[in-house]
Amino acid sequence: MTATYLPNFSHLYVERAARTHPAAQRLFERFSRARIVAIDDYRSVFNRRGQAFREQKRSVKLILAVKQEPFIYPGSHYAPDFDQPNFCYNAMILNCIYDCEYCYLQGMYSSANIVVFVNTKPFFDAADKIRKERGSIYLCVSYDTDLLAFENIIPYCREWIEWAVDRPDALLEIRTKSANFRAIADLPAPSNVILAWTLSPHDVCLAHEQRTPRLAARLAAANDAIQRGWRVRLCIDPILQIRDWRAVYSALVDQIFGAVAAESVDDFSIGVFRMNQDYLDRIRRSRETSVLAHYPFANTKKMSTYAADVREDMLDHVKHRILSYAPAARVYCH
Amino acid sequence: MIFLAIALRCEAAAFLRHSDLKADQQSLRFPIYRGADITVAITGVGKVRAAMAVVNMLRTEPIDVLRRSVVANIGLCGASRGDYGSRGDLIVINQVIDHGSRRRYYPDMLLQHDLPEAEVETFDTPVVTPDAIENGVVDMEAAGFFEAASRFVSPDRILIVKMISDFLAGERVSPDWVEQAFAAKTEPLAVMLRQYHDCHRNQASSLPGHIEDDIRVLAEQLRLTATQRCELRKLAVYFVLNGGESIAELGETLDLHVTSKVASKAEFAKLIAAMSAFT
Ligand code: SF4
Repeated sequence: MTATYLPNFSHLYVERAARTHPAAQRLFERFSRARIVAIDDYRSVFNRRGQAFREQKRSVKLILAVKQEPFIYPGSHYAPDFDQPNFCYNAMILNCIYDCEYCYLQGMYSSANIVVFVNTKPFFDAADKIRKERGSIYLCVSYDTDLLAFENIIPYCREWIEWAVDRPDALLEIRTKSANFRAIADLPAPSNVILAWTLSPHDVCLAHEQRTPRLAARLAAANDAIQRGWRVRLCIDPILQIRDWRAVYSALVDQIFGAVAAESVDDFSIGVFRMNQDYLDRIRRSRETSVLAHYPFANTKKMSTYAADVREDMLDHVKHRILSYAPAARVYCH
Repeated sequence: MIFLAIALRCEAAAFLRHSDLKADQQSLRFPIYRGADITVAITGVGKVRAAMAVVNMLRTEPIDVLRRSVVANIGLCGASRGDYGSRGDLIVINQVIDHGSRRRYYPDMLLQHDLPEAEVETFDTPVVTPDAIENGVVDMEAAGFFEAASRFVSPDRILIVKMISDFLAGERVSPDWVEQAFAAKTEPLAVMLRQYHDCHRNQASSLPGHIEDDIRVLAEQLRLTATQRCELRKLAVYFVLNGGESIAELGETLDLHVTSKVASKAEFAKLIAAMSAFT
């Protein structure tokens, strides 16, 4: 007789200071049958030493916390800035409900549990401060998580979109693998919000992006957004060295443009797998049977990625395929 | 393996009988009972004793064994309120608070069970005032147990189950009552421990033995440094996952009689290239 795992969010670990925030109240209602564990500081649960990330992924818990400064970070050099000044990102949620094999979060965090910061106002204030001081902001709100995938649980995308509406000097990117556009489809499409879908070949979704919606569902969601007037970015990132990668990624590009009109897409972003070397080492320890993680990457300046010639080859191949549908000015390589 | 830390012999007696455990004659200062896949340490009362006994029980266990093990603490507690259950009822602990240091510990709550849950606060002396805590239960071992156990296993492998013995009003509990109360719960406890254990089985190593042998032999022949051995082992995982069967075969193309560091480095580079190309 084997035990079964508890469903995700069977337990809410709640900082005492977080309890009265409206976002926390909403989550109590949403998970009314969850057991509440009162805690003093989210870091005492989230940052514990020696946690088993893979095992925790089988039954993920929510940790509700009050974030202290900083509420905004300068953009990372692992992430593209799309030639936008004042590139920043924030993280109102740490960790993701999906379980991509190559996800850097597994190396960055010691826990698979998901932290939701419930004190939202300081995040908006911090973005406003930079916007006013520097005259503009390019803000990515869905790093270190997939915010749209979480929208039915806590509607932070909606809050950010509503924030952006009367701030023309702000440009917002919401990156996602989810097909959950319907959660925000009722909102008018602001011209300063970009919904960025990460697309992967069907077989990669199946084999390496556990729990994510399939390619066709992501494409349908992106198409729906385009039809409703939203700005959409399509990202093929990370491109992976899988068997027959040339044919597989060519087919992906063809499939994308079979579903979506090239001229209706804001821009295209492509990049090969790259990751902080320490994160990758941690992932290798926890994913002992992952061919992806154990690929013999080259390491430069603490970054693990494909050897330069391989990387160039992969980027060139995918880029050229996209260029047969879209102009070069709208294709960004990283 | 299931490792149990239990403070008192009367708490453990029924379990020792149930699993037919025998005293380890080598461990006289720290009483330990062993069976085929269960080891029980009788820790004595208090968090320091609990910590010492857990360290003593686990410190010589190979990492491979620990990675497939569950470490549990079973014992009595006093409950702050009646809604956790009656005397003799079991509770699963989801948070441990060290009363003295205010440190908190969290076993991962991953598996289904049908017992109530509560936090436990570990005191250094018996608690006999009902308002000593607001919520949860009190004991005298859990914090020391967790601190020690978490040095050896991850928190998803740590389980704490307490039995209510009193409601913090100084009620006396006889050893006979304790033994009988645990005897009544031995079967469900044994099932629960077995379920935790089976769910947490893990692969000990990703590399088959003959590949480990290949690495060892080649590392000696090529006089590899510790760093090179480490790199070779990492790459071997990729090699095996891609269907590679023998590193020794790749080694046959190398000059294994290296006489200098330069030669060793050159042959090592060839080996790495051959393994990397293997897809
Ligand atoms: S969707 Fe993104 S954040 Fe979520 S697991 Fe996958 S790579 Fe990580």
